[in-house]
Amino acid sequence: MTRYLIIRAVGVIPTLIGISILVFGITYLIPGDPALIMAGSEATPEVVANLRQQWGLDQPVYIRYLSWLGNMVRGNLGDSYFSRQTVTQLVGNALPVTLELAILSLLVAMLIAIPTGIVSAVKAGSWFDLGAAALAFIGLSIPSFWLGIMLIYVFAVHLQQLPAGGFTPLSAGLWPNLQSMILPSIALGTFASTQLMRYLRASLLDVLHADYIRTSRAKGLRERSVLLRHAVRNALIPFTTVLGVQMGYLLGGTVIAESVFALPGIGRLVLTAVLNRDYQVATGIIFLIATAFVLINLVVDMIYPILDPRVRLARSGG
Amino acid sequence: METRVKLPLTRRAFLTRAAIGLAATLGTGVLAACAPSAPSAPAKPAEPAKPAEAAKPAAAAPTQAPIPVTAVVQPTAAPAAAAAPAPTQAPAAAKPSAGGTLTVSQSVDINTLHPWIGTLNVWKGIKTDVYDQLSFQDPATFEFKPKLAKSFEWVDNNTSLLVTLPSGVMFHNGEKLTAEDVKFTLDSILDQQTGSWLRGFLAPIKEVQVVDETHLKLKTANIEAQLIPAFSYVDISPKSMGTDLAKKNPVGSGPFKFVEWVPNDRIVLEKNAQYWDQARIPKVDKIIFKPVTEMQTRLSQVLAGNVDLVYDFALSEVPRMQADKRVVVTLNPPAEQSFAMYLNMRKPPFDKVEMRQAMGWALDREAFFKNFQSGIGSTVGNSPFTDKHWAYEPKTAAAYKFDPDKVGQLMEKAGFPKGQGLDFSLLVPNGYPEFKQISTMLQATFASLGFQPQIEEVEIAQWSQRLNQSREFFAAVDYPGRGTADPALTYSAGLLYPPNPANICGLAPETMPGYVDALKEGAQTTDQAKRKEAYSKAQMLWVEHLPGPVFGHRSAAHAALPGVKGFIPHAAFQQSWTDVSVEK
Repeated sequence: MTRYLIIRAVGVIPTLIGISILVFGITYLIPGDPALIMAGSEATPEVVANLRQQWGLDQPVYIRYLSWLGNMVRGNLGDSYFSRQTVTQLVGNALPVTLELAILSLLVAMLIAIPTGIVSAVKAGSWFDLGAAALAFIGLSIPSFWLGIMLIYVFAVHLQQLPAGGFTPLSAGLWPNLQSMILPSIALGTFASTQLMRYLRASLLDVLHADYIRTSRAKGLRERSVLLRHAVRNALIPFTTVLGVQMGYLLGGTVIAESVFALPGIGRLVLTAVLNRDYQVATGIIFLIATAFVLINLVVDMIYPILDPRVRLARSGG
Repeated sequence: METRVKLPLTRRAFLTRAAIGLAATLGTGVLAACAPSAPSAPAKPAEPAKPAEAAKPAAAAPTQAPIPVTAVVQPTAAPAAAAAPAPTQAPAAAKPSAGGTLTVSQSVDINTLHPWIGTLNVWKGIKTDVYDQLSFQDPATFEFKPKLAKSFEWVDNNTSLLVTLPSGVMFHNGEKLTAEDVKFTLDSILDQQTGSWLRGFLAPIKEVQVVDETHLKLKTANIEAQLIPAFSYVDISPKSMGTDLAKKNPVGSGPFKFVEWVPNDRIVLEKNAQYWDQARIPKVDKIIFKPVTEMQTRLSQVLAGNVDLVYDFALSEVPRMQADKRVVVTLNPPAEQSFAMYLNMRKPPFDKVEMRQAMGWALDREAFFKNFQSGIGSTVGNSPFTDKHWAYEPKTAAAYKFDPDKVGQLMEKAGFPKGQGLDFSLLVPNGYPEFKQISTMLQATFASLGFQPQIEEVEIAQWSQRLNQSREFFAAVDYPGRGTADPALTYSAGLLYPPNPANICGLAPETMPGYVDALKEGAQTTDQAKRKEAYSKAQMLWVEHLPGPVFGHRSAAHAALPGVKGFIPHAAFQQSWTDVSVEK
């Protein structure tokens, strides 16, 4: 057991090195010069060269990589070339916005997907089911940025009930904060809900045809009880797993939603960094996210044997 | 015996998939967001002009007065108060109320807090009121006038510019502003190590001498007419702050104090009630600048009343916004920026003057402005100036217009009959629809004559690198500015007109014999007639050799709630907000 944990922990090191090479290499391969972007087109070549020197961009790529890696190991994600703020500081400001958006979007997705999915499965082949399927296909086909702009037009410009963009922090009050997040959450959550709804319907249909459901009915249980206590609960197990995967997609999908709704989240931060060739910020954030996933994987691997004796047994019995 | 339980989707598999999903979606999202979109451009140093009546954009364009070269008196009134052509929402139309917060939506976020390094127009529109500059350009008349300086005077047989400062000016940190701070600022910008793009603006200064606390002498070889206009870009910073200003909150002596910058969210300024020039004390207590990249969101914000003003939006949206009673649209008269083209003269085919001239005849200018700019703009091209500028040479007007037959003839004369053997492409940055539209129209003209140039659409950073560093391009559209400046500055700075190593086209002093002499004569004399003659010659030489065709002049649009009073957009984005008030 201990040997297994050590092997897993050590195995993370080459993974992280591999990720660092990929992240650094890809970011630096993008054509463009941050010094030129900073200094502007009107700056003389000497001024641009001077900035490149100050930022160490005149160094060979392997030296820049090693220097960057060294800083990473020491927990220093670097400073933005442009704003001169630390990447940690920038991430610290942006991450809560993105997390809030992703969580609320998931909530919206669940609120739409769970009831619709259940009714569609129970009334499979009905007008409701067909209508829901049609709406799901439409929802899948609508780009979230278009839906976002339409929502803004209807609820902000026309009805003037919600803000047309921008972020109000929680410190300014719960309701103002929620108001600024309602439309982006709907825009992002609608897309996710269509997939979740179809998945839940399929999963529930499978369960509804299972023997134990037939047995439950044969025992004389009420249909409501069969559905909610036996069928839905079982159908929600794989659904929950997919829900987790969706959360990952939602976090990634915030790039567009944050741009449309002018939210100062991670997605917009990465996008700006890539456009400006702010290598330190772009590589820092992408590496941070990748590292987080690797470490979560490691922790889960370590927790598995503790939580599930069958897995521990399998590993020891080998 | 294998006893491992096979779950439909293990947690580990879930996490792995989630990681892949996040990375893939993030990557796709970034790529998608990098794709061409509405004009909400990322980061390009150039932009609009000045105020006018919404319905008649060009009519209000004033004549620019020559720059003052001898003593000038410090104005006591606020710059915008002296405005000659009133914008649509004239300040006098309603009684402005003091106080309140003005919220301004801008197209991009700033990328630095450094006053001498940041090049973005959005940054100019913020820092201009945080700092003081020695001079300013009147947004209504385009005249350059003293601002922090009380006067400028050429002395010592015209080899020194004597600058007189007022006394009692305080920085926001409580320090007193003296001639030493001005010297420090000018010396720092001239120092290559600082990395300021303004270095070329101040290049004629040989030495900065402090005479006393309120007087400086700037030593030059001759009179240099570019200096006073150039000072409008120079933000005076306290010597005690040093030159590493990007990491610190800006400390100036301007009418607004800097409060905070939250990247991608907001920049906040607050009123400096102790500002030394009482005539320019701000009317609002606070300004919040919000960077909103998606143009439709920005327009929706003002229509929904979430922001007070949208600064600079696409002209194609002007008719829709003008039709909406909830907002007032203000247009800059087309003057500051020209739609122009960089032609790479270092290699074929644009090393041949006939091919450059062919490009001058290839664009249907009327159609471009009518179809893509809502009819707003000026087709008066072929010169950096419009016909409202004192230095404008009218003979250039007829030099080039749209004539495909002429293009064909010139192609043949250049050795490419019906496009045979011709090879060039048009480099376009994505996010700039106007550049793509002009390039597409040019492509169509050449295609009708036998050769279809490719349009290479690249990201703005790559576009900039290829134009300025690697020079891997044939032709590219841009909108260079400073068409309202004094010609001495127009022709000494920038990327199109000055014959120097930074010139994108490869324009060298020997390319156009007599051009450099004309520019020197224009910049180094106080005789207005001689100046006009010199710049006329420079303009005529330009249309003869045509290193870069100038197709017309660009306007810009801004939309505000009716309660916003006193807003006069600045030609060169050096926007002052002191006269703006908000009635809620």
